[in-house]
Amino acid sequence: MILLETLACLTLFAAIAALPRLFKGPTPADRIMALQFCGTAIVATLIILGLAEAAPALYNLALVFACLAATAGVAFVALRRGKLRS
Amino acid sequence: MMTVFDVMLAATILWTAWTALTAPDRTAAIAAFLVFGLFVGLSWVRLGAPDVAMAEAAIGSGLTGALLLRASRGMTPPAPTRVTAPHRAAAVITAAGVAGVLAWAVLVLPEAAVVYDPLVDANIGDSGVSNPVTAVLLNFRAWDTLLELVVLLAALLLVAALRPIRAARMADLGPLYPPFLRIMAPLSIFLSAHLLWLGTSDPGGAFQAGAVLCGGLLALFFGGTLKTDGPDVMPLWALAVMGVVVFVGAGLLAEALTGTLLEYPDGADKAWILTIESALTLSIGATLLLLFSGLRQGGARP
Amino acid sequence: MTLLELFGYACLCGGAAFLLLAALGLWRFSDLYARLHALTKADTAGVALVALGAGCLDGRLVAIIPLGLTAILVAVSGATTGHLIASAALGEDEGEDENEEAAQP
Repeated sequence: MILLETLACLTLFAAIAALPRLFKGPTPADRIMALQFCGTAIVATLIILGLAEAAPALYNLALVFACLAATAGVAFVALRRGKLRS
Repeated sequence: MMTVFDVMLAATILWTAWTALTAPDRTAAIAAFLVFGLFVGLSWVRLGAPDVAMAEAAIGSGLTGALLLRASRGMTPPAPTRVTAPHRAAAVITAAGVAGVLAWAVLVLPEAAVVYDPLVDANIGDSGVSNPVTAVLLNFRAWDTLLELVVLLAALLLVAALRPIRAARMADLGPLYPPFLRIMAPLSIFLSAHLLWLGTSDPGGAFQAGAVLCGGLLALFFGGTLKTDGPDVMPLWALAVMGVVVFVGAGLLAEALTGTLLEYPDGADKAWILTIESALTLSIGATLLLLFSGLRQGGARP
Repeated sequence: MTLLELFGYACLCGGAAFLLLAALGLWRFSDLYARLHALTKADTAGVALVALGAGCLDGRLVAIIPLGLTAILVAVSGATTGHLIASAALGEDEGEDENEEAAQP
């Protein structure tokens, strides 16, 4: 359905729009936040894709992505070297 | 409209890959690599391979990120490289040449070269499961999967032999972390078991379940709840080795029962596959965690 | 189109709007703490609305359970990561303030 496909494109665009902050973000904290947001937006994109293509397997996939994005975010904070704000 | 989606996705994959290679700050490069993994996982979904997408997200984003971060702590900041123009031109020509040859090879591929799908479809009734990926991995080509697990175990043994004895020094994660763990850890175990069972009919399976389990174990490790120094590491090691042992044992038992190595007895394929996959899930989870955390040897501590 | 489907599509559009606005905020806000605000709105409201919309449109139990768990997990992990970053950043800020005060004559 065209509305669902448009929404999927929009959420993908939101994920891409977080990347400038990830590449530029002067502090490591900015990069962690951008990574977390990117993972969240991709989870939303997967849910909408699952709806658009009538593939409920993608809901499980979104859950797996959410799990691993959480772990990645925590890993960045736990394994940081030095300060977050410098 | 999905063409727009695919074009955006492809451009973003190229952009994040470029940034991961050229970012001046190492944290930015690792973050770019993780994001690259996420977008490549999304591209697998668009290509109709959700099993690969699951494995890519779980291993490429979660575990590899933690490994790269830990490795980067001991490294000096990246030095600015001085690449001369002829060197750069040669690299561009070589890369473009290889990409062109690959594209040409894919485009001229004859239709009759796709022999695998009809073979799998014809034989899937005998395999005991209805997910073709699981059928191929755990039944038709179980020998390859067994060797892959041996490779994983060999990698773990190498890392154990080379890893310095220093344990990872992690930042304290504060008082809000244990409540998060109380939600995350049981959820990851439940999700891992669900993916294991689901793998017989839908995208899922042992590798994905093991990687999700590793994600939960990593979260526990970061909180300090799960320690891998001293005698606490022995159950993890036992789990890591158990996968190969169970798989080899099952193969030998199958040979005793039916005369051919890894040929499961008729009618009981699903039970055999699920037993092997359960052992594989636990083993892969433990192996990936030990690959990250390393081990401390007992005795004198620095 | 039934009322439930209409509500579902409205939720999906609202969730996508939250995500886009949060991406804009992440780029344009000038301070770390303000960007954290934007991030957590996307994690909680954005994905929860999208999951709610998907659950309304696809009403089977086999779909609602993963969707609900995804919304919970993203909200909880987003909140935890946001808190971790904020407390670490706040600790560094207060450390700098103390150093400045101690350095003053």
